[in-house]
Amino acid sequence: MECPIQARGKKDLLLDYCAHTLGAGPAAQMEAHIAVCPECKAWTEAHMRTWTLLDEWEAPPVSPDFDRRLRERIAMEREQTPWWKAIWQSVAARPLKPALSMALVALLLLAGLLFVRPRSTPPVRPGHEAIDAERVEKALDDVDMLRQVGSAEDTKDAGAM
Amino acid sequence: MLELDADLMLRVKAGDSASFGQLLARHRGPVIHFLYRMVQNSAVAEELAQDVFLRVYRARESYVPSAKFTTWLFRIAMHLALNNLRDRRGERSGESLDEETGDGLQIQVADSRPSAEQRMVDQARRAEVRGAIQALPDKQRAAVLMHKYEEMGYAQIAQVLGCSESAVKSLLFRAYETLRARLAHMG
Amino acid sequence: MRLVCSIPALLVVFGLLVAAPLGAQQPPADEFEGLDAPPPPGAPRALAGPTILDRLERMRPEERQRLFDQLPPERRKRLEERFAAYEALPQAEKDRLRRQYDTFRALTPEQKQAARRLFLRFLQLPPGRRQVLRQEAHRLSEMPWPRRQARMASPDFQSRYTPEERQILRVLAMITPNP
Repeated sequence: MECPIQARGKKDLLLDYCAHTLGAGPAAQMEAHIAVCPECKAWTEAHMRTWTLLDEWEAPPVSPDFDRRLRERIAMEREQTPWWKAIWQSVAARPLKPALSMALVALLLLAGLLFVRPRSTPPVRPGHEAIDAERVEKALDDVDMLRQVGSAEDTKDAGAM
Repeated sequence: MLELDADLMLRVKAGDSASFGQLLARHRGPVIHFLYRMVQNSAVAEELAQDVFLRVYRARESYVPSAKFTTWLFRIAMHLALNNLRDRRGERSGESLDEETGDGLQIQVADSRPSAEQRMVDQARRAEVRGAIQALPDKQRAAVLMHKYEEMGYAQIAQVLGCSESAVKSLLFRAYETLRARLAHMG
Repeated sequence: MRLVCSIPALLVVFGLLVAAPLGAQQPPADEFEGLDAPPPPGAPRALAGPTILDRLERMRPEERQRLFDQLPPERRKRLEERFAAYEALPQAEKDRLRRQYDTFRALTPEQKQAARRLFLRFLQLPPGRRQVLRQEAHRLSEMPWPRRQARMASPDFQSRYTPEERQILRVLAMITPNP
């Protein structure tokens, strides 16, 4: 086997060997070569040491509320998109056929009638709207954030509260 | 049988939000970890990851499976990471926003090692590794992170970085040589 | 048939013409525009009514548990721990947080999101810098509005803090309760 360090454009084989991504046959050939080539042996040993060191750097776990915060952002975007724009965007992405366009007209008419109809339900008094666990979670998150922002004790633990 | 990412994304395009949840569950970890190692700040990494998935969600209606889903995902992540790094380099505030030791907002995980001294040694070693990676040029760093930690192949890394496969192999070789030299004293 | 089909179409067009200006929302140039200044005399700053936390504290334990049980186990456990930690805070700290939260919850969802981002950036600053900003925010919150405005517009203030830090200070001062 040609020496990967001496040969042009073959050094990636050494990388692949160290990353265990070479097929069984080529890996066996590489091993046989490394056994007789001091340069390749030194290279792979040094590379594996570096690889092991890189392994020591673990990423921290993902926050448990990551998905919830993303859902909130998506919901907020939806809230900020005017209803007619949301429908239009949805329609514009699809090719229209005559039968579908009639169905769409009927749907938009219904949506328009619903929009202009005066609301009959009375407004909820502040502080008396329905309370659910997700809103409590959000409230406690916000209070925790305010506590961290206001606290002169520089704790680094987000779960301290 | 595990559904292909592209099939899930096409379902999202058709309005199925549960499929978006599946994609998120599958890919949030790798995306956040890649971003964390690029920007070296877990809170920023999560903010950027949120932006990545938000962009994926926004683009759902025009999605066409022309490239691998993860290639697209990491291309967005890469773009946002580079923007963030560029912005942070230009900040007037003289002090760095990089984490000092182990991640400002993260919950500390109890270490099972017995001695405080050993913990300090481990922390110092991790800091050296982090510093060595941070010192790499952005593209080399991204290539290493994708190759080493996300186990991506040369072809896919090339598509994310927008360069040829041979350029990726070159980048990686130079990056690993640099890391080897910098970390040689650690044994 | 054509006439019947055209009537709904005309009504739809009319509906869109009416609804479009009502539905269209122009995002404000600045999320916190108009919030810095004190409210007119007699007008409350914060929302009326008890906060969610007030209501949670007043619930019977079994009622509260039924609420927490709505969540999957991991989130439920975390929520229970957080609530217990909140209840265990010293009263003065709880009062301060409640006043801040009262102001915070009056923000629109967009403003809250912007504030959260700024607070996150604040928490990423080195401890020394955070302390400097806290002290400045406290000083600002104690000033009458015209003096606060003048201070934030001063060359000294502008030169001490980055644009992002100035935004952070503005929001911090806004939610910090006056002594």
